Amino acid sequence: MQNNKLKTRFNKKNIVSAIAIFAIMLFVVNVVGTVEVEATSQEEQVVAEDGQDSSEDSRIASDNVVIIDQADLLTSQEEQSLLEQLQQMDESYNYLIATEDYYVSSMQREMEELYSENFGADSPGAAFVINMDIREIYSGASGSLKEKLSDDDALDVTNNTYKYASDGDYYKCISETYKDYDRLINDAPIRRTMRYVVAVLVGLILGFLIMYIVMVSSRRISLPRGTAPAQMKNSVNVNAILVGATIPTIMNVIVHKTRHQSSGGSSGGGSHGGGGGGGMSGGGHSF
Amino acid sequence: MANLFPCPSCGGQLVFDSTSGQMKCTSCDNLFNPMEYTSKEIMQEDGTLNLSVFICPNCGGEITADNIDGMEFCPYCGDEIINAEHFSKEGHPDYIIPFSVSKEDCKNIYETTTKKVKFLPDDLKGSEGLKRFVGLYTPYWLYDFDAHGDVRAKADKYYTSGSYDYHEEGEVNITVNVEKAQIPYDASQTLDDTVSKQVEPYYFDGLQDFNPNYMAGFYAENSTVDENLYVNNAKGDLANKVIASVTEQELQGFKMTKDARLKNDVAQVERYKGVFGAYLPIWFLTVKKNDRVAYTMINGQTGKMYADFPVDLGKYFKSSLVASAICIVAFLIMFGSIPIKNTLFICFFASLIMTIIAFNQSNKIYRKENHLDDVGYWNDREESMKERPKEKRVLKGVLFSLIGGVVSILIAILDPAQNIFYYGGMIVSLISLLLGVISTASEYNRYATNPVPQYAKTGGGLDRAK
Repeated sequence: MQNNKLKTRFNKKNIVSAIAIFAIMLFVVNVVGTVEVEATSQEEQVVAEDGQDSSEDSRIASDNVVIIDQADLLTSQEEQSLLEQLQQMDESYNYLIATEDYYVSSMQREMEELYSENFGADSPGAAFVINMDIREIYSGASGSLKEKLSDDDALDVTNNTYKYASDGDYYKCISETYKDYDRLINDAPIRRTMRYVVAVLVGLILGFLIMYIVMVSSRRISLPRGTAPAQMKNSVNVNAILVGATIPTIMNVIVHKTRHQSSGGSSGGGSHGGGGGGGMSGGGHSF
Repeated sequence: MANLFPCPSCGGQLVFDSTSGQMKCTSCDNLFNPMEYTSKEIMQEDGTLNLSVFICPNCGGEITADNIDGMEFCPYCGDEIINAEHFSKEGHPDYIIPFSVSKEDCKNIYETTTKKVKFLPDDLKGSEGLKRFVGLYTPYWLYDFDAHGDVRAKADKYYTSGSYDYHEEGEVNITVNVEKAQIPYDASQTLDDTVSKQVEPYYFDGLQDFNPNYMAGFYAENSTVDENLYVNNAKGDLANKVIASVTEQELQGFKMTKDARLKNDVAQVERYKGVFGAYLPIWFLTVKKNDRVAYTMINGQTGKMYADFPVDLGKYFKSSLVASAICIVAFLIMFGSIPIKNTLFICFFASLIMTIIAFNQSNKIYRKENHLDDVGYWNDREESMKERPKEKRVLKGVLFSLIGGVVSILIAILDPAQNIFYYGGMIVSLISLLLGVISTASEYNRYATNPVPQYAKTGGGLDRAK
């Protein structure tokens, strides 16, 4: 069979080499992506004038920008820098940044509540939340901005920036997130490494698996079942079986009788949390 | 070679024509009724057949025929037959079902079927392979039974009335009356029992008293299995059919169920009358590749086909790459971005499916290679039931497929924040899936083929059964 040739091609040495090459490629993609972002952000790196954190005021705001640093992750200079960065973005949208260090069960709901408290539900804008208790970043859009910043976009953006939070550079994490959002608002492309890598790997897995199932099933269902010769109807490996009941009677009948279970029970389930219509788009990443 | 079936008109060679059911002259095309034609050359004065047994010089397989001039390839090993030895053979079976599916029909069936089979090696397609079809009468033992008597069946009835559920259970007497039952088992040691069952059923309305005229132009295999080997199997088969007939019935809302008492009653009313030999028609196509042979069998009465087609791995990989490209595009369009942790579920389920396929296949391969379901191979029922050790290579496919699932679970438990771990997990899943597929497909190719047979024993005869 041709199997021997293919087995040669797919021997262990070649497979290990393939693994190594593929892994290196992915690693390079990861590293290059990080270098690109770092090179871009060097121009705007903020250096604190006095190097001191200010935790006296955990909230700063302007007309359309609110920054709440409850977890005290940002210095006052960083907060100011972020404020200026967001004020330079499209004025027709609101922007929220929040850091917190208490437990929340749902980052999506937390983000929606924070945004609603500050700007009102469904007003157009974007939000970004860092939670130090569950160690997750989460971002999304509200109102008409959801058309430009979908769930997929939020997922891709947080996938690009989570690594800064992992490294403890929360300022850069927030800053880079809003830079990506600014690109999307202005219809410019952003890096979507995870999306394409996942699609390729999952596609390969599914492609090979599906074709294997097709291969096996085509061998089972294709075989013709044959036809009985004309006027030969009565054979399945025996000449004739005649089974009949002569005056059959059911004898020795025992009757078992049970009462139905009562079907009381509470009706209906509780209503699910409805909340207002729409909600926000969102996506997050742990760090 | 002497002409054992001379044409009464021109003296040419007569062969049995499966399409018309008549004997046809290869020279003048005249047709003769096989029930009326007699040949002094084929039947000896003492009633024995004047056929010869030819032995393939490559594998030792025996072929009974008047001559093998038209046979190019051995149906057992697929090699060309050159200078086969032969010796005279006496005896014939009691019955025969003549071929009613022609070689041309076989070719059409085969061509139509192979068009639908994916990733078939090229040498199993095309006209070259079709020349190799050989019409072989395969020896079968027919175990003769009847059954007369009463059996008792447990009967149950369920219904609801008002607020109550009712279950009535009772007994019923049923009279069983089986005038004649003939249960077939192949009498060939080389033909796996599970394989021969795949081309059944045969319709025994077509069973005729043995007539050598039906063998003109065809070949036969000698029986190599003791006639009493399958008696218990045949009893069990008949019992199952009788029990199925009983339990299919419904009486006054009561349904019959199978229980130990019914089985015992059925066993009591069965009567074993004896075993008879028969030639049943099968078309064989044997393709040899290196040290393996691939068989295709077509029932010569009904056209039912059995084949284990091997896989061309090169074709499979090319098609899989195309399918993968389609999946990638579809994934991007339908799903866009998904949280990376969710990819672990996809990897896990892919691994699980492949592991189940590989495990199921490894079990089939183990049973086939150790002939656990082929009593005829061992020619001894107890010998066939002994445990055989599993060869390590059979489990490779299972092991490789499992790795991806295990890695996915481990990463899910560790729940790392960095994407590189998830990428790594998906790569490992992909590679383990590929290795699992290669191993499983390679093992499937061993399952779908057989070692080239090497025969040592010469055949007994179906005439021994009375």
